[in-house]
Amino acid sequence: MDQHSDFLARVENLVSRRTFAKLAGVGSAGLMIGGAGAARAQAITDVDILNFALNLEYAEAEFYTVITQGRTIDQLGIGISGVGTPGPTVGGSRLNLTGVLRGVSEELANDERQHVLFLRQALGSAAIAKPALNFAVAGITNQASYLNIARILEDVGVSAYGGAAPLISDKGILGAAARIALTEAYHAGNLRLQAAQAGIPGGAVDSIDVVNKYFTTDAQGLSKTRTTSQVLGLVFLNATPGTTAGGLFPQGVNGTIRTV
Amino acid sequence: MDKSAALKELVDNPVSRRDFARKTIIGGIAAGAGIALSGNLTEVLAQGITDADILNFALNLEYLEAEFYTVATTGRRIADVGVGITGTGRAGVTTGGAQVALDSRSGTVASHITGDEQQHVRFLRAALGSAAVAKPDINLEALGIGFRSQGEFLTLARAFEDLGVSAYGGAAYLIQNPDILTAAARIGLTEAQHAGVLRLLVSDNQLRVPGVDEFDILPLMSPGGRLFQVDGNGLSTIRTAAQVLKAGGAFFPSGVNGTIK
Repeated sequence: MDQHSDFLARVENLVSRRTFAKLAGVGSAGLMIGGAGAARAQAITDVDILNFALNLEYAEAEFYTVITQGRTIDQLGIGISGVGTPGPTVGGSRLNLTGVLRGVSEELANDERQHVLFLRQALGSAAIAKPALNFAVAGITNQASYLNIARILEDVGVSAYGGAAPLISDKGILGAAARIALTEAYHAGNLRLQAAQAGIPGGAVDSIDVVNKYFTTDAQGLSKTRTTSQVLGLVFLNATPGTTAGGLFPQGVNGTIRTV
Repeated sequence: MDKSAALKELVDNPVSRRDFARKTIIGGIAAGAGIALSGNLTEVLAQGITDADILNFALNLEYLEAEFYTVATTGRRIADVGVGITGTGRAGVTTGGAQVALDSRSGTVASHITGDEQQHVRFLRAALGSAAVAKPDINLEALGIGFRSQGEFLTLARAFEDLGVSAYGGAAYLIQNPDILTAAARIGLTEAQHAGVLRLLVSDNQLRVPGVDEFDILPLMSPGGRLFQVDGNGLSTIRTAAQVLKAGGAFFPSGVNGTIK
């Protein structure tokens, strides 16, 4: 079985095991977390983690598709239905990109759409729906402001996958997640170089962000990571613990991991 | 205790961890209704490859990258600038290479990457402690290019970074301990950022570069090129250890140090 089909088979098998576990009344394996104010601890599964990532991939794919084509991903035939609350995309519009950024953006858009397709296919009926997205908050008026937001989105993706890697139980899923994560890091490197060349101003967007050198590395040369709370606090534009919506996601994200 | 010391503790106990690894992986496969992973993991299990073995394999590559960038940007070798190279196995010599004249942008990028790669060597050596392999013999001019112009430097740098990314991506699922996985992931993600930058610099410099093997996806300007080393599913290229050694083994004239060779 080729590696791609093998991965899909493993995830689909996990999904059916999780359903069985719920029916049988036993908790699924995985990391135990206690959310703020949660009545009981929730076990995080690989499906939960992939769905958390899918929220971000929906946002990236939609963002680049709107900017490069003035269309949404469902208008291109990419499925957006699934578990949770579906929502529309508002804000953002096509930009007439020039120079290197134009070709880069088209390749970025294609990769992110592929990530959405890949995760949706792997998750099957467990895949979340695309939540409501609001790009108006990004305040994009020109190429420079677009590049700034794109840079931040890719860096958030890299840090999110890096933070989630040790939480993934299944090795097949881990292998695929690693390859998606490394793709986001390729993207980030490219955009960070362009942003530096364009002299994009702006301070760090949070305490993790790196703006004074090309790579998002700490003093040991390791890429910085974010917890799911730190990721959500950033994309919600509200880092208050307990926040469940705002910023890019006006109705919040779908799936189990949804709270700052 | 700090992270490096914690990792070192994990690494220092290979026997019990090897048994733990066998039970966990086999148990996981059984629970997965008998769906087998690719042959690679079966071979790995049969050989009892540990996380330390994987980190040491990576350390060989980091020695190579650190040496390449340090020589290219300063004309000095890593041992000359205080990066340790001793350990298990024979400490080898590094031959070839020279400082390269780089323009402002490539020069700054190169100096940032140099810093990262030296740090990767230090980090892995600290994590592995007495289990760290020594730097093997390295021939920086194994492919006959790299140091006579900015174009050559970028061409070779691109090849090294993409090779490194594929090695980390290919090894991720083999790592058992979550802390070691985190460290490897964070190093791999840094290499991918480096590669993203270098691939853009290669195309900006209008360079056509050779492929290192059949898995290589070339940057723009080269046949079939694209900006990112990513396939049609949006997944980065991966290689097994054997494939990495086949592509880059020429740089290690006496082979690499450690179990995976």
